[in-house]
Amino acid sequence: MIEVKNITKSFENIEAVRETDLTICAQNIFGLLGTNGAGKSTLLRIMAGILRPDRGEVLLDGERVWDNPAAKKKYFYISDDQFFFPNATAKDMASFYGKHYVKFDYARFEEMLGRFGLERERKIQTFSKGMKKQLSILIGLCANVQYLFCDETFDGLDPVMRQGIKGILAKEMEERELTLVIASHNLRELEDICDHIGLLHRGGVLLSKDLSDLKCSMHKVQCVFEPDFGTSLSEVFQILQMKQTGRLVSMIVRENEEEIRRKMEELSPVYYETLPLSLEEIFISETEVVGYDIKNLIA
Amino acid sequence: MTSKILLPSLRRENLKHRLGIVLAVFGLFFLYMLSFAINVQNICSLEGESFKESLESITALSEPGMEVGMLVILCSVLLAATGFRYLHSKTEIDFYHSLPVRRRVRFYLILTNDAGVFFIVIAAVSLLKCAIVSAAGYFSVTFAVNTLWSAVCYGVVFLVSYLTMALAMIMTGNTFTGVLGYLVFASYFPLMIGNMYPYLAQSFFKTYCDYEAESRVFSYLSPVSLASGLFEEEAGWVWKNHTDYLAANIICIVLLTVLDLWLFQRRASEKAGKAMAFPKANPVIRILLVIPSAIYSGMFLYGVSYTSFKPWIVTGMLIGGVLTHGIIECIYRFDIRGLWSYKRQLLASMAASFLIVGFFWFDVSGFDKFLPKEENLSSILIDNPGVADDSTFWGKERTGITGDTMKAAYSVIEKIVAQNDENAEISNNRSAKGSTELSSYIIRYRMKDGSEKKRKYLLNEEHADELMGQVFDSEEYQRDTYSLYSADWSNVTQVEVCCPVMCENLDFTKEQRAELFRTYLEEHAKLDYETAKAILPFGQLMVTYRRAGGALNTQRGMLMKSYEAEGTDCYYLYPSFKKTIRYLKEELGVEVNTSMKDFEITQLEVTTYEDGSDGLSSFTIKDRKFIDSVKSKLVYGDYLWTAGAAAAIDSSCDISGAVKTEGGEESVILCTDRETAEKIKKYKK
Repeated sequence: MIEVKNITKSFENIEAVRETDLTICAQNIFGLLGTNGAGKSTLLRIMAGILRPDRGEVLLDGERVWDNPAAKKKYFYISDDQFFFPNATAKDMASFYGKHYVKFDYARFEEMLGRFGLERERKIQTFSKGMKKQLSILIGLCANVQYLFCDETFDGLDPVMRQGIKGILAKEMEERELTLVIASHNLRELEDICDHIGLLHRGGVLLSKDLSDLKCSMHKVQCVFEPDFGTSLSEVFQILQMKQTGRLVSMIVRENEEEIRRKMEELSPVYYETLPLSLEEIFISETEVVGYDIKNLIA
Repeated sequence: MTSKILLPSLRRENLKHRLGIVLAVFGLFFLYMLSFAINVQNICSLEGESFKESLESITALSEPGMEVGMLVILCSVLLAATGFRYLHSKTEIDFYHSLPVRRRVRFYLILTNDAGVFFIVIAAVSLLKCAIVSAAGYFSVTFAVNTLWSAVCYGVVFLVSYLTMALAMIMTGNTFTGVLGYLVFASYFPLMIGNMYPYLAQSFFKTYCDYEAESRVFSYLSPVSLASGLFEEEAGWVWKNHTDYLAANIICIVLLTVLDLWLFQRRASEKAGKAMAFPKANPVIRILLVIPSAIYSGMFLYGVSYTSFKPWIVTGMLIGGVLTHGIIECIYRFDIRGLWSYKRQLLASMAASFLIVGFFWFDVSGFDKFLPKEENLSSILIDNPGVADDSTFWGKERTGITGDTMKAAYSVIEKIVAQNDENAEISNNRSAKGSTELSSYIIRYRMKDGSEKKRKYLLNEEHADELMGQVFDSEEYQRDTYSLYSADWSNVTQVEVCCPVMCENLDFTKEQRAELFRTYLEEHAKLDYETAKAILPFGQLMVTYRRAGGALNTQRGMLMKSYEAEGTDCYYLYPSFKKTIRYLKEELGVEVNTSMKDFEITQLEVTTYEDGSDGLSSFTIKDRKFIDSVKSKLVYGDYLWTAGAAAAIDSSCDISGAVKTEGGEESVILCTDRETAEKIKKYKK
């Protein structure tokens, strides 16, 4: 389990992460979502023991991460721009990592290189961006660690490779209790893989929930009432977003489906429909509440 | 925790990925070995060299020296820069610092690997040097011991320089600023701070003269000056003479290691790519650099102008201070818009600079007016210009004048101090009347508490005459001024007699030399100031002596005497020195002519200096009658050092004469007294 306790990190005058608390359970795929500059990468780098927080601490299975090799041996960090030694080959990098991660599985690495079509003796500097990304994920997987921290991991991968890697990750979770923390702003990529979502905005955590719970607790409701309908909807529902076109009211509410049905029956609308929300819609609604509104950008 | 089993493999990995720089270090020392081998071969092939001389030259090559020292420093900078360069790259720092290796272990790995590479290289070089010299047949125990000491010294210098560069790399977030940081660490104390006091004092204090005073403490605060101090040697490097620098280097290594490690562990990874890694230190560094830069800029502008126009100092300080402050901020930010930031810090730095300069400008400490209380003085030492000072004195210790002579001199010095500002003003305004009559004397006040204060005064003729009148006849002054009285005569390598119109090298035994000196000094001691003022010397003894610690220049492997190894002292011969003249003639067989009157002079070339102007005027006198009338007052001046040496000699004009000798007509330099000089000058009119 990873415990992020009251972490604050500033870069000169900019507060990148502010009093953040998070708990990431083992055998989960945790999606770290956030607006641009929300502090996703910073938080991930703090969790990986690269950055030292100004306040607070990160515990991995109860051990402090900062400058602690015992804790660091349990995870592998895949940066959004992974470093490879100049002139190094995939084999060289595996050999290097093998010195640091004692459980590094060379046989599997060889096998996966073949599966991904990456040449073991070719210089990495001649690889494309996507191939480098594949290689860093392969190394991370073969390091045989319990935790994998990925920063924008699917960027630069083609759709087939993305699906392939998602499959491998899911299989890894099943087979050897891997915990995955993925920081990304690509919600579509995370929606079909994450169990748990942490939403960051301006350095703070807006919400941290199981994806299924999150989806159940927020819905889009479209409804039409009689012209003389006088009840204020905001007094009945927890509305995050509301639009009205003629008599058609479209709103996003923080309620479960059962609750919505019960309340709607009481209000007796002419018509109503409850729709599930995509992760992207949840993201937009939640961030809009705290002022990150697309209308502000367009205006 | 990183297990001990893992460390060697991590070490190998570290080296594997820095193979280029390791090879570069090997390459540099390979080039050095080539030059060493060529040097040895050159020495062996020198014609006319005995085995002993060749052995001495080759053994000298084993001593530690600054030339190899610079190579060592270069290697240390390269290794440290590449070892810690990863701290300056976001991608690399993410990579290295996410690995399960403790920070201090990473530091230890880099440091020990680089030190290991260097020590392997230096050990190989030492062995190869011994092998080459053995093959040439010049191997000796001294060579082996010196080579070992060299390896120790180079190792120490490497570590100091390496740790300094590592400190610069840790404190910065960019390799360019890291290298600048090293240059600042290397030069700040010995160059910027160490020279500031002498520079300012020399510029503002009229009586400052401690030019050679070493700010030794500052030489311990830079890797380069520490290396220089360790290698410095005039005649053969001996470790016993360098224990202070060895100790200082070792202390430096310990302190730098602790500091580097402490900062390395605290360095924020996010500083990669920024100019500086510890922003809190930025204002301190900036202020520490702006203050001396402003001062030096002001002094530079003042120095460039010959007019002693002091507003140039203020102008230079403003330009230098503002620019340095701005440039440093631009470097900090990597943005030209930093030029005008932190104005309050700039104002504070400028105020501090002006305060420091003002302290010297207005002589707040009363440096120029300094005159110790007579009761606090134990002695006074007078450096007569052109005759004696510490750098040319080769006798035993100079004791200074004491007792009544000191009291009499003190009363004259009081007047000199009071008059000095006015004389300095005249001297600065070189065209002013009387500027050519001023002579510079250095007075050292030796206090009863053991301290010494040194001041330089400009004396007009009247005060110079009064001061000399008080001290010249005293034995203490004579012994302090003329080295021959107390010197070890075995250091004398040559004595030459110069008199009309020849110079002859004396060929004599040790006993004859001692007898000549005894006779000369006996008569010289009787020479009173009134005689020295009135009578012209007819010639001189030129005594060449070996300096203490005189150097053999072995740096290039060539056995040759350095020009600094010997000095020449000049002792006037007066007509009253009958015994000396007789000894020279009768015992040593020198044909001593005591006057020019017996020589035929066909013409005189005269150049006069007009007082109050820089102008020169020359004329020729061919009037034999006139020449014969002044001939007896002319003295042979080749090699005669007139600057303040003999009060009787005129210095207002240069005279050369065409003199007929056995070998034909010769042009010789002549000197005369003031009265005759005036007569010659009038002849033109």
